Amino acid sequence: MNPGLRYLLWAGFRGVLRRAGRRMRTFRGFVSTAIGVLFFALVVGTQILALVTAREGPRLHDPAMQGFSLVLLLFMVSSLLAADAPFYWPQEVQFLFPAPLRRRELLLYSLLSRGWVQVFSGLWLGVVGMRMAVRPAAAIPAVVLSVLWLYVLAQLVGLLKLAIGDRLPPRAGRAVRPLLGMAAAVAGWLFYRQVRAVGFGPALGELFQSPAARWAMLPARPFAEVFAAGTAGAALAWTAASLALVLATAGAVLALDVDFRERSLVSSARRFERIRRMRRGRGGLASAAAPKNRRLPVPSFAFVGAGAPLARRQAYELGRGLRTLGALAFMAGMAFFYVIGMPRWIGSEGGGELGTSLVVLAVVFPLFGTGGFSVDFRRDVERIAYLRSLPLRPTAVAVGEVFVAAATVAVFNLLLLGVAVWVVDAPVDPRMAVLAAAVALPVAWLAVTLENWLFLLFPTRTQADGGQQSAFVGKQLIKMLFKLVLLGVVAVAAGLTALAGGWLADTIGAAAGAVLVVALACWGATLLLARAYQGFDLTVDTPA
Amino acid sequence: MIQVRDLTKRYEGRVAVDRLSFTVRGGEILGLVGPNGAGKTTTLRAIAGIHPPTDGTVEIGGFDVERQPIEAKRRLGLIPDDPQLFSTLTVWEHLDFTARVYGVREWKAVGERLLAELELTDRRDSMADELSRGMRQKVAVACALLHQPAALLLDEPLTGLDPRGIRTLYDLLRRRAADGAAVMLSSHLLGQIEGLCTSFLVVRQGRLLFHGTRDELRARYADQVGPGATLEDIFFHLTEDQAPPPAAGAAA
Repeated sequence: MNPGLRYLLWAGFRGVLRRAGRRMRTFRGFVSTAIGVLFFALVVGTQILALVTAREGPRLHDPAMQGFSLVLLLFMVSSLLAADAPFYWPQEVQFLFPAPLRRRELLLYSLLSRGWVQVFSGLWLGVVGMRMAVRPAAAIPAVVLSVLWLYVLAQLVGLLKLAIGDRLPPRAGRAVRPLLGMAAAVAGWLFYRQVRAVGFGPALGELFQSPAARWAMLPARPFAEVFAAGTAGAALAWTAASLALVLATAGAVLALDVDFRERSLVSSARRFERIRRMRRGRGGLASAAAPKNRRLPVPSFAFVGAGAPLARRQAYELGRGLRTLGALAFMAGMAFFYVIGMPRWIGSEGGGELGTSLVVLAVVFPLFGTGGFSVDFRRDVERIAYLRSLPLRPTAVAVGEVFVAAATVAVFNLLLLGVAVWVVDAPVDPRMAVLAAAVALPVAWLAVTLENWLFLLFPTRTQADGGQQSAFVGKQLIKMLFKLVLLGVVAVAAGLTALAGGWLADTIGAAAGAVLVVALACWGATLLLARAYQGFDLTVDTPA
Repeated sequence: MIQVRDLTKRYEGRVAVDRLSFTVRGGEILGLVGPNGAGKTTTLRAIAGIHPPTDGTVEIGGFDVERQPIEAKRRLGLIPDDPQLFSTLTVWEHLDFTARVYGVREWKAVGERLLAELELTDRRDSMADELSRGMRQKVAVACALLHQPAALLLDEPLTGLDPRGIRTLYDLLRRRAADGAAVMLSSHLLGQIEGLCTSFLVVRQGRLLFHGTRDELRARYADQVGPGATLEDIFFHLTEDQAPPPAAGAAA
């Protein structure tokens, strides 16, 4: 390997530590890092405490193996689908591409410089997975090597895609994705039918026994065997096999003679754009690809008031970045799975009445979904100077900026509730269903405005990789807790008002009181956001 | 020193560079000029081996950039239009890294001199993200000159530099050319590079419109634009829509 690349690897690692130290010197950096470290310590401590005080019997080989294989298979499929040419940062393109370096050296540098980040992620996930392994310590090498292998495999598949794609006629290349999508939809539908017929556990068992699944999971077997190893000897032997698989895959990456430069330049530029947006306010889910819908019918939003043009612009951007909606739909699916699916299909809730969980769903989805859905100030942080130059009051700007995001989350929320009522085979409590539908819009509005308020108050540049992991986790944790607490306060206030209204008047009075409190909370949150926008210091707060 | 033959670059059906052929000899400072989207950056990136050409060849010091990339790139320095530095490295570490990549052993004295000339000495231990745009540009210049390349490519190098920085860069480029290097720089500000360049290459929509010295440029278009016309007037005349078709009139 070229000595310059070796130096760059070492200097890069040292620089990450240096930057982390430098960040600790600022109050914001210190607080968010401290909270992040506390969070890590709590998770690790909880795991160790649970291991020490565990009263349950020893875990069995087969279930541990099946569970790990399933998770690995899911990650494998998603990373293979997303595999592309190797990613290089702009500074790497600038310095390394015109330098006298061989393609193989560039690939090796890419594998090594990203590899250590994968190892750290694997260590973290390994600690979380310790309680599920047969021998807790074996979870660490199992997960670390799995994460590393997934990364190297994605590089290999990315290069293979390039090698094959260059030889395929364009029409055949275009047909691959829809065909894969259709196959996945058919498989999902068949599995869903089986779940409805025999239940989730048995259906999963049948899936594992099928020849297709066995073949698909074969490469993942050494890693799953480490995770499910019952003895130290078995764990060591399978760890050695897993390591050999990782190295063999890396060897295949380096052996492939594919000219990836052109594709790397294009895909790296797109990915960097997404990362840049993410760094500048969690807007990474917004597509960086060229817009496809050039003629988009968008309403005037005149009812929004003076901020209508801003809302309309957000709607245009949303309509032309459909991946953003896809990501929101994914978050909706996750919320549905955790709140409705998991307790009913895997847990013990069974076929109980569908009521409280609808309300929980209506609150949980906006809380989580708005984190990455940034069709608002977070995407416009670089346009604050322009927004300030417009003849609009701060409140109008605030409403115009967040309206489309809040309305979209509310519509998704209502659709999600409808799907839950339609899909789940259980009686529905009509009062709770009405309550869930009634809170969908205000909760979405509050979640979006509070998310933006916090962003404008603390627009520090954070990212979920490398040495800033703890600060990032800290910031996310603070935001989530804060939103939960504020929503709780509003809910309690509305509940107490409703109680008082019911006691003093009747049901209509109770409902009117609760609606008034929620409306006041929404208006108050909007005023807070407008104030934060007004106080946003461009000279200090615009992330560079 | 830089030899380009029939260089063509296509992107998703669009031709960015169309059969471009020219030579930049040692000691020559060539100004690559053209309006936005003319293909200047793509041309420079293809010469630097960043974009593989769709067709044609590029040679640096007699070495083909595609077939003998290591030998060719050893002789090349590139200063991009938007300098991106490694945020985890200091200014001095950028020079250290560059020296290692290009295998330059005795680089520290050259590095010190470059930092002094570019007024970066007091910033040698600053991290890259603590530098202004102009300073980052100067670091990119220092890195590109450290291994004393025989061919130097600069893409819009004046952006972000203050007047003193521009003058220093001009001096450095003139000295590199006097030492025998082939220098090629792109710009759409003809007035600013007029005094520096010894020859010009005018492109539009990836096609060559003119290649030759300043005097040749004036002589060729004097009757069309007028005897008192500036280079900028000639440039506008050449690159406006109703300009004559390029292929026939293009010559060195």
